[in-house]
Amino acid sequence: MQQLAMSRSQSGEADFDALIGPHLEAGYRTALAILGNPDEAHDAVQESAFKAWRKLHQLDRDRPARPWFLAIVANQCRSERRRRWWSVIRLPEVAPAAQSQMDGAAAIDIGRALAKLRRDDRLALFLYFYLDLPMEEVATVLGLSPNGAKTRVYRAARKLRPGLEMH
Amino acid sequence: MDDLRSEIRAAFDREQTPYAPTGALRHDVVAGLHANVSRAPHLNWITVATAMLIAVAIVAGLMATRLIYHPLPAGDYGPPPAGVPRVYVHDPDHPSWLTGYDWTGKPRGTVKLQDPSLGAPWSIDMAPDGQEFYVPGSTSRFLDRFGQPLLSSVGPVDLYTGVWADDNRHFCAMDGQSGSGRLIGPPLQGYALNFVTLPAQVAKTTTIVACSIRNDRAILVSHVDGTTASEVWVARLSGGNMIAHHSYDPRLSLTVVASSDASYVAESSQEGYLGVPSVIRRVSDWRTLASLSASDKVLKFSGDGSLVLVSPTSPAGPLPSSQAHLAIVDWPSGRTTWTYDGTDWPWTVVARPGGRDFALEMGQLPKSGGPCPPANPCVAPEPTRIILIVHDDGSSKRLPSRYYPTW
Repeated sequence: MQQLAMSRSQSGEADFDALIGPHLEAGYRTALAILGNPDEAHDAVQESAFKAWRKLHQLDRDRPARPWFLAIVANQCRSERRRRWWSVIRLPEVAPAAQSQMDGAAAIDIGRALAKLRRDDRLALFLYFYLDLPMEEVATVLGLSPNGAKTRVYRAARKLRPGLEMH
Repeated sequence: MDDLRSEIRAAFDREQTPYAPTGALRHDVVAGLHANVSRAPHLNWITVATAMLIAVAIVAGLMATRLIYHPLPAGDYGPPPAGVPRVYVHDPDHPSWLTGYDWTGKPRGTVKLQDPSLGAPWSIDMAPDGQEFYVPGSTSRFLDRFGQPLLSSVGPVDLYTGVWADDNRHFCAMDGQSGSGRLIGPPLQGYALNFVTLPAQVAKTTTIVACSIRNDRAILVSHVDGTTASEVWVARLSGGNMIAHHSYDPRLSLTVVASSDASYVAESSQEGYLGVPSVIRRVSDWRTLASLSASDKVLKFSGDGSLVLVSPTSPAGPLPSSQAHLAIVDWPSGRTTWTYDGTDWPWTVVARPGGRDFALEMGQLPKSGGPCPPANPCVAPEPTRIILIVHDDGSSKRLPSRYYPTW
């Protein structure tokens, strides 16, 4: 009986690995963008993976797994920030501007502007511009309609660059 | 837009590059699942067990505190909780204690009256919801649910000429000296103390059978021979003006009762052999909505007005038989929900406010003479009575002892 349980478990892990494994790196990067700390991001992904494992039966196999998993990661990071009240005053550990290929002053401006954005706005930009998620998947992660997600991204981008037109 | 995308991507890149995920991330996370799965039930079990231990400790602590430091004497059910409808009876062993039973028949609080004179039967009257008490007298007093004074009102008012208003906070009664109908209780904007005045001779035989703040209406009934209705007035509580008046032939020997919201009245002949059917009327247009058997005398409406407690009169003549017959009828449908046949007669009854339950005070008839009419303050032939709580599904519960009620 115990052996049967073990084999079911191993089979489930393989299934999970095939489904969610390819998106773990995106999950880690999302967590890092939200939490700003690599260790916390790693823990958040680990915890999110466990939650996803338990909720796997809720996943509609006809829909993409990536936004579903990233939504779990984003929620886990929000919970983590609420739990650690002191995290609200922590600054993201932004890497030195010297590594950038861009013009130094402009890069610092954008970096500062991103750091000042509200968390949800920052997450919207990260998902759309950095992870290159289609707007439908951005919407799933943010828990918005596609139009709502588009508006969120547009408004966040305008905060970085007033006067921006987006199509 | 493309420039912005590049700039944003570069900015995030600068944050992410130093902390790029290790190649082992996928392996670590997936491998960690098995450890988590094994760990979770164990943690859950410990959490549940800890919570149960804490809960048991808290309950045991509370019980110990109550038992050791606050022993309650027999018959003391503690302070009455707010908002729980109750019916109150005098504690047989401590007459100035009132025991409140909820409508399932469970004791739900004890009121310890400071004034020992209020331990006498019929000296205090509970509001139908059991949240306040009215003490009639030359100075009427209202007590809160703990028996503490709320307010007083000067004026000679006879308890038996009035009823509680449907807000359960005011009492409406006739002032025998001035001939006025009075709304006694905390001041209400737009309402006067005396809402109507009748000619002195008429007022002396008049009782208020319904007083509705909700519908701004009171129903007054004048009598001949003490119990036979001769006239009905419908008065506006706020303005004091009469809005309807109806007269009856005294030979029909009618009694009139009303629903607590003054929406309906029931007219019944006290003499079933006369063949006059009991009728239920809508007060607003005096239209007859239902007819009951001529032998069914309506004693009381339920709190929501949909049921009537009836006492079948003897078809053979005006004298009561030794057997009591009672029934509760859903008058819109004519369906009987409860019947009683026995030797105990109803003396007084209270209806649960807004509900379909009744609490009946039942007892034996006097050895000589006819029965006292319900809600009539004739001298009790025995010290205490049976209290029966009857529900609309036909079930009933008798309270554990014999009591004097406070309604």
